[in-house]
Amino acid sequence: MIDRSERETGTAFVAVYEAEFDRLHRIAYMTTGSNTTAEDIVHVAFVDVLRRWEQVRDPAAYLRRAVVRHSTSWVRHRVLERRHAAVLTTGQLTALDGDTLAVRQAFQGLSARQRVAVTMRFIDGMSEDEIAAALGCRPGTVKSLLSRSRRRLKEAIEHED
Amino acid sequence: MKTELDPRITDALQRIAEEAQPDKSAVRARLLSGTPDGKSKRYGRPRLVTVLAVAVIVTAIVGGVVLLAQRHPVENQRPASEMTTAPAPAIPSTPVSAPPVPTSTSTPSVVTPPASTAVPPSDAPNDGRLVADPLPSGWQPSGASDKQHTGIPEFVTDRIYSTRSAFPEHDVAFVVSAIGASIGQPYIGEGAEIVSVQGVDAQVFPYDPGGSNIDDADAVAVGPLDGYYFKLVGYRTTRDQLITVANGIRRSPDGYGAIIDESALRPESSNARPERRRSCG
Repeated sequence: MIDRSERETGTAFVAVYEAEFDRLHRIAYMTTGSNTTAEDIVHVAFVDVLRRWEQVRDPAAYLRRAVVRHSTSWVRHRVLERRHAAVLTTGQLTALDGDTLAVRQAFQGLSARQRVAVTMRFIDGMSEDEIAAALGCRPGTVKSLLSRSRRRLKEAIEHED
Repeated sequence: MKTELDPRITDALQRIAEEAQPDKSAVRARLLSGTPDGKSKRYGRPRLVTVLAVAVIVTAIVGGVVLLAQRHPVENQRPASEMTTAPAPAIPSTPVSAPPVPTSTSTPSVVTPPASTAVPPSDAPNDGRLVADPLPSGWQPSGASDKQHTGIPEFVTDRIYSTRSAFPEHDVAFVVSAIGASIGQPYIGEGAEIVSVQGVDAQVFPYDPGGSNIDDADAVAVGPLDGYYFKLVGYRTTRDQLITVANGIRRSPDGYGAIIDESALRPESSNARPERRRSCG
């Protein structure tokens, strides 16, 4: 028998899930470059937040932070593995135009945190304060991350021209 | 503001983002079907179908046992006439001895050697490994779980010192590692910077594919200029501190290993950045 509070938690959780899933998955995908990994990361984040549901004041912010943490950690481990196993992996390549290919290449060259910042800012339209909260850093650091990323992306597209 | 970015870049990013195609229903099912408490399905709350299936099986087993129990005495029950004529079975004179009952219910205890927290003294023969001398309070020698956290246990040839938090790899964590010469020269990123570590020039390079300098790196490594081994000496924390112990590394007396100063492992001194002499990034 599910009691009332549990039912309310379930309802609220489903609402948060429906509202946040796509955005969180996009952040994880843009950081890791893998749909299945992104799904796993988002899944783990939701399990995390559900376990701490009573203590979490802002589930969306908590989830963003958890997804960023898991995504950057995943990328970090992949980098280490690639360096030492000398195994090159290829991303999911689809037919893309020149601009997109150039931007994709430059984007993949950004650090995980830069990718998170760019995705949150320029795709999800989040504020620098929100990004800073998700990354666990100061807004000034977000500005710096975005500035460097912009420069790299701009160089890539100019080079394409 | 999306206008901060070249529209062509924004469009390209949008196209890349559209490749994010989650199997939302599968994830949703994993999360919500039978696992409202967030535990994995295997150990979580059973589904109604599972409960019903188990109930049917249990009922069948119990019913079978009851039927057998009812049939058994009928078969053994003989008519009274037979009982009077048939000879009584011989009773063995020697009672069947019961198996010995253990006097103690305790199971044999498995002797587990206590985890060694001893740190090699600084004057011990150095085999090229990094040692913390001495280990500061709150830090413990690495165990198997620490190595698991790195995801690449074969990479870790030395010790890891980490706080015992739920996610040491996300918090203050140091992976101190030396790669054997057999692996060859490590990859030195474009952003490699030269630092002076106790008078020894070393390369500090970001452990990040796109990091152009230390500020952008998620982790850093330090290695001697001859480049046959290196050490990953720090991670960026969630508080955006680049934790590096590069300033606290000393060469071991024999010149092959290195010793990390205690001060370098203290969280309060962890935001110390390596001294930069030249930037290649």
